Amino acid sequence: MAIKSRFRKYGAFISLAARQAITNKTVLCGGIFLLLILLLTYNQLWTVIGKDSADPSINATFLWYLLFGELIILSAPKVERILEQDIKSGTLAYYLNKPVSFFMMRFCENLSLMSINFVSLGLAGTLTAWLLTPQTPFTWLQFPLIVSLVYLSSLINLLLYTAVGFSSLWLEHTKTLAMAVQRLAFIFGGAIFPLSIYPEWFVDIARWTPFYSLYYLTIKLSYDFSAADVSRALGLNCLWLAFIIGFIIWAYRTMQKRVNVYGG
Amino acid sequence: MHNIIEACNLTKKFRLKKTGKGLKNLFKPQYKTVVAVNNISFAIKPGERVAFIGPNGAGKSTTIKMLSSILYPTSGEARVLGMIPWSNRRRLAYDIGTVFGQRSQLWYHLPVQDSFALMGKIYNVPEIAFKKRLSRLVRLFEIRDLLNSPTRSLSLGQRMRCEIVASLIHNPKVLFLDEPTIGLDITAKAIIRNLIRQQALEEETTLLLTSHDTDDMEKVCDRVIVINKGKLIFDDSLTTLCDSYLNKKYLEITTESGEKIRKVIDTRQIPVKKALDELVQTYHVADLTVENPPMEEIIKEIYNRGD
Amino acid sequence: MAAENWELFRFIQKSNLKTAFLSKGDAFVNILMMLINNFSFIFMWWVIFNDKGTINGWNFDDMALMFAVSGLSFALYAIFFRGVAELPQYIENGTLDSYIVSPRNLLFMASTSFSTFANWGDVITALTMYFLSGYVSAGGFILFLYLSFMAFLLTYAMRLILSTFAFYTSGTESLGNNILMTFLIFSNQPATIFTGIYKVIFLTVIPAGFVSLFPVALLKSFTWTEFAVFTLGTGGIFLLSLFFFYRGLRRYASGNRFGIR
Repeated sequence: MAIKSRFRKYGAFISLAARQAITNKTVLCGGIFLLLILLLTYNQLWTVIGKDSADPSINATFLWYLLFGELIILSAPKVERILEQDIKSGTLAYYLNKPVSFFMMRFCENLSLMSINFVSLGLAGTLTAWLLTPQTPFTWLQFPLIVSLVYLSSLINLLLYTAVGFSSLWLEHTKTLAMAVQRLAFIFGGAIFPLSIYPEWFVDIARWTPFYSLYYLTIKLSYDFSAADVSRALGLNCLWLAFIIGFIIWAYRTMQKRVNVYGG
Repeated sequence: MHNIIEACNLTKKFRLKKTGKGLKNLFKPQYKTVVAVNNISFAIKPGERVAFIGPNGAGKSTTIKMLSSILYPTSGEARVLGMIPWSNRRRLAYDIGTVFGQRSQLWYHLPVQDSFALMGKIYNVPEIAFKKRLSRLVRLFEIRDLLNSPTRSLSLGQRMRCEIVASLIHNPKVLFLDEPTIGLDITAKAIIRNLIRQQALEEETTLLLTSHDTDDMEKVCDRVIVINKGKLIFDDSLTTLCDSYLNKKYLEITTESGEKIRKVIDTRQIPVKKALDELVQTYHVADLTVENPPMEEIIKEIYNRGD
Repeated sequence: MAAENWELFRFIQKSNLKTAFLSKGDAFVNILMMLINNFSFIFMWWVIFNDKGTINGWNFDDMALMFAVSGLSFALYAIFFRGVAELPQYIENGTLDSYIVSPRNLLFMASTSFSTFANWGDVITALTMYFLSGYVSAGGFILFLYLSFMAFLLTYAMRLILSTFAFYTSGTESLGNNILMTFLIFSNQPATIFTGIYKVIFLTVIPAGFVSLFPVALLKSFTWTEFAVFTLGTGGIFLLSLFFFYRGLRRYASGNRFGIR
């Protein structure tokens, strides 16, 4: 009974946020536009490189790799800004006397936004990439599994930015931190160019960051699929997931305590 | 004496996009024309303090924006200090000042002093003249204690005082004030009105002020132009308006038992004091308010008598 | 007149710095983040060039020159004239009023109304990349400054043209932002990857080629023809953007478009 009503409650947040996202087409279209531009640009890059290279399939390989990486990055809503505002404006305090968990509410809303972005960007991106390079580096049988793992990465990425948002308890501007996190994802996660071309010493550092499994290990499956790598990516991602959730719970508790002390 | 401001058949129309659905509307939107200001003519002499009053959407802001060179009129003519505002924008700017109640010209995070210095630079006020001018205005508007505070820390009333000072630094001959008291509480409104009036009297600044609050014109101005639905419906001295239309007071008392009683009195027949005395003697008064008739009433009256 | 404007410009920039330094820690962190941001991006390209050698004739030195010019030109825009990006908002809610009644140039006042301090990090990045590239000389440095300035005019012009849409219709802000984003993405890629139809777009609709292709070519080996094409192209688009803006300004309705006040 309690669980059922809870499902209904948060389900309402999910569907409300979804409806809002679908009505607000400009944001959605903007994301798709950006993804298409990136795909076209990097298609050019890899086509040009492919011409001089011994491996003609290089374009297909790297384009699909890029698509999955960008899917994780572009799907994430600006959760850190919303949370920063909530925390700094004291909006949070208004929810303490309501029968919903503030954290769960925001999480459900953003999960919903992220999923809608993921689906629409995924459809547009897959179609474009397929038109550009019909020779996919994976079999269509592997495709659903790859997409599911990329979705899991997007989910962890969302939580990572949630953690960034909560850091505004201690930091003045989360915007710069969020930007840095994104850039680190580009290089440590190899979100644009696979880590396989980076120098050895750099990959050794990257291994210790969440971006390694979140991006590289997961999206590499698109051109180098193996059962062993699937389980490795899954395992490491779950580990990082637990770690990030742990941080969020701790930060959330701290925050509630502070709100009590200052009275919002 | 020559007129400092002249408007002749001034008209402004806006084309508004009709909200509609579907692609058809995106490519071939439907428009409707709204006449914001309709054939308005008037002339203002130097040193006059004129209130433009009327309900929201009457066209008073649009008129003031045309005179202060912000908007091009659809048709008609205007001269401010002998210049056509919209074609002599930058030359005119040195001689006019503008205050828009809902917009700020002050830097949000910096001390107001810095914003004043910027205004001095923008208007090419020489350093020595600037210092003299600022210290005079600071004294007049009593903002000495605010000079080092950043704008964001000021109350709305304090901020408005600083906004007015900022627009007076270059010693304009004409000052346009668009809703200068909007959003202020009663005390702050009273202070601002007083200061505006005092400054205009001392420096013989010509004032044009828009408001939908009749108190603003009563306390500050000596002439009133009433605008409704884009048309000029009244243009005369404040005394004429008060004598013929502002002779009603709305009294509302709350008795100790919580009962509310409303009364409209005609001040030509019964002075307010007498009416109050009567009420106090008849009821156990817990609370009491005296108000001017609302804008709508006055406009209705003007229309009624015009017929 | 020019001297007066220069003095005003310096005063406004001083005020901007003052605002940024209200919190010294923040200012420092913002610059640091920008540097991390830039150099991680540059590092990524260094890796690619390390792996592939050249991309259609471009090597990493060419990339370094490109980062120098695109970085400095963007910094000039973002630090000093970013207010131009706020124009759609100013036009829609009527804030433009306060710049119209000013005795100074309207566009100058509106453009200098907003500044992002963090982009000083771009200046550091740009100078570093210029001196790391293999093409350093005294004359070259002056040319580099000139090219960056003209590329800045182009960036400014692009933003101004997109902002001008707001005079005609509402809600074009995100479209404008996306097109500018495309311009930035294009101007931060090896210019030689744009071939065929892409090259046409690269030099016309989204003229990022004037930020990457021409400056790098000129810094490597100067020819008067390319210099003339570059100067006419960037300057021409800049003048065109001013023309569009003043055309649009006639339709300015002071926030009245969406209901009469």
